[in-house]
Amino acid sequence: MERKLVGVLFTIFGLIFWAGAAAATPGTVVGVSGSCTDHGRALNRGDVVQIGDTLDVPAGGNLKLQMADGSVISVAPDSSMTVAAYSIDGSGRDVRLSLARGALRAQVTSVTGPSTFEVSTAAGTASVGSASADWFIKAQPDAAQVGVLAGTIDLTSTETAQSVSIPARWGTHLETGLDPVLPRVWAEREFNTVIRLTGAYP
Amino acid sequence: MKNKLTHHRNCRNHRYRLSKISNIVTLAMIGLTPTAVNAYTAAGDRNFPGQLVLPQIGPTDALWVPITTQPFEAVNPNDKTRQTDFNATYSKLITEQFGIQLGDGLTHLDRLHASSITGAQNFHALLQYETILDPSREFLLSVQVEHEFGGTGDQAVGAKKHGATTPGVTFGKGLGDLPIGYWRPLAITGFAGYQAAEGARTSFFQAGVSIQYSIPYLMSKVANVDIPPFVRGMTPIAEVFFTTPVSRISGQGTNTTLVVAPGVSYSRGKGWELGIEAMIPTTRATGHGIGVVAQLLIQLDYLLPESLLGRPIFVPTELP
Repeated sequence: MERKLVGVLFTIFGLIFWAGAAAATPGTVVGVSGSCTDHGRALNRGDVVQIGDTLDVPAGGNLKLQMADGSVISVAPDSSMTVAAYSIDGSGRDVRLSLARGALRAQVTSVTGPSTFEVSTAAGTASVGSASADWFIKAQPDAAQVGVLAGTIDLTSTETAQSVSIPARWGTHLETGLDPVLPRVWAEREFNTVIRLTGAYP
Repeated sequence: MKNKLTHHRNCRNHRYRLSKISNIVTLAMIGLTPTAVNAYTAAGDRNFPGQLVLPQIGPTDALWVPITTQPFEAVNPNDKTRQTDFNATYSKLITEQFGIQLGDGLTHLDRLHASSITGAQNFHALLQYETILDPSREFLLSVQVEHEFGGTGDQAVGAKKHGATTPGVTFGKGLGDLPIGYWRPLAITGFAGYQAAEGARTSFFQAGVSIQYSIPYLMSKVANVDIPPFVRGMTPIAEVFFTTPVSRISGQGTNTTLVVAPGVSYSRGKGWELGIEAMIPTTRATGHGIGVVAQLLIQLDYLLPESLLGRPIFVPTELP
């Protein structure tokens, strides 16, 4: 009986320790090509990504992150992404990324509890509206573009606060200061373009 | 899409030449070289709303249910005083740019000095191929062929004993690529077809156009105008549909019909559209007095994107 109790306690402490470690370490670099940097520091495979880090991927480069919740983020060439918040524990998930320029693919896993997973750009914010999702977002100087392979993404205009929900196989874009364009079915070639953009790793 | 004015016509004897129709369709499909295509009634950032009188301009996964009511001038007992049609059309994508539509409906006739009657319309099917899509110019064009299966409906409510085949072409063009400021939300669509009748039935030439002003396009592509949220989803639209006989069948009417249908379509990008239009007949055969058509369109590809109901049956390659 005592052994069982000790085992349970160890398990609980282990989970608490794991959750705390996960919260402190949002993700790890699992793929890198080109001179990717974090605040000017060169990134290598195995490096840890922290909250507040700004990751820059040069033209011709790529970056792939394995996040603490199991999600995978692939950053396209000529992109700049900041990890504003990334907490994951037994009570849920709160992820806030900022994409200043470029594009990324987010393969978001489901978690227990309430979940927020959003990527903000100058034009608007895209957030995962389903338990899990596989989607793309591209930040341009005056616009943002979202395509969804799986799940549902809500895209909200920063200025007008109007939003649209984008289901799987659909996409749309948003111009700064305006409402999001009504979503439409994306052709396979449109998805292939962003998949190629975010998927080239050594 | 079934011609909604079919029930206003009479027929004459006409010999149906299937081979000739097939040749026309084949030539049309060969002559229009396919370019980049996708599978929705959208061209670039232009979403074309579902039409209530004209055929839909592109294949898609959707279901639409229009209800039409139109008063008529009755002179003799048993003449209809009002015709109300309940229709349903299911549209299914076979590939990204090729789809089929299956449709049927009920007609209810109110009659002068007689009890009203209700009966089935003829079943009809349509094959549609989106041939050209030019997103940057907000242009798309489809070719189609529709067949109405004669004798499948109730002749007491106007369903024809003989069928008809209608090859046709539809197009949509948004004006968003032009430097015309607040006129950029304008779009035009069009349809032209030849309804070749079988047996003792008149053949018709059909054509129509619509002009529409998309408020969603205005708000997302042109300017952030301060308008109520409800108005943001509206697209004022006016459709005009015209039919005229091209063969003369002895003993049956050969009246030209022309209906003007102004109204509005409403959509907020949530997977459904609601449209309502007045039906203004301009010839006696079209009707007498103003009718109404209302339609609910369900976008199955939006609501069920990962099921077979919401995606093409055949997709070229699997996405990673």
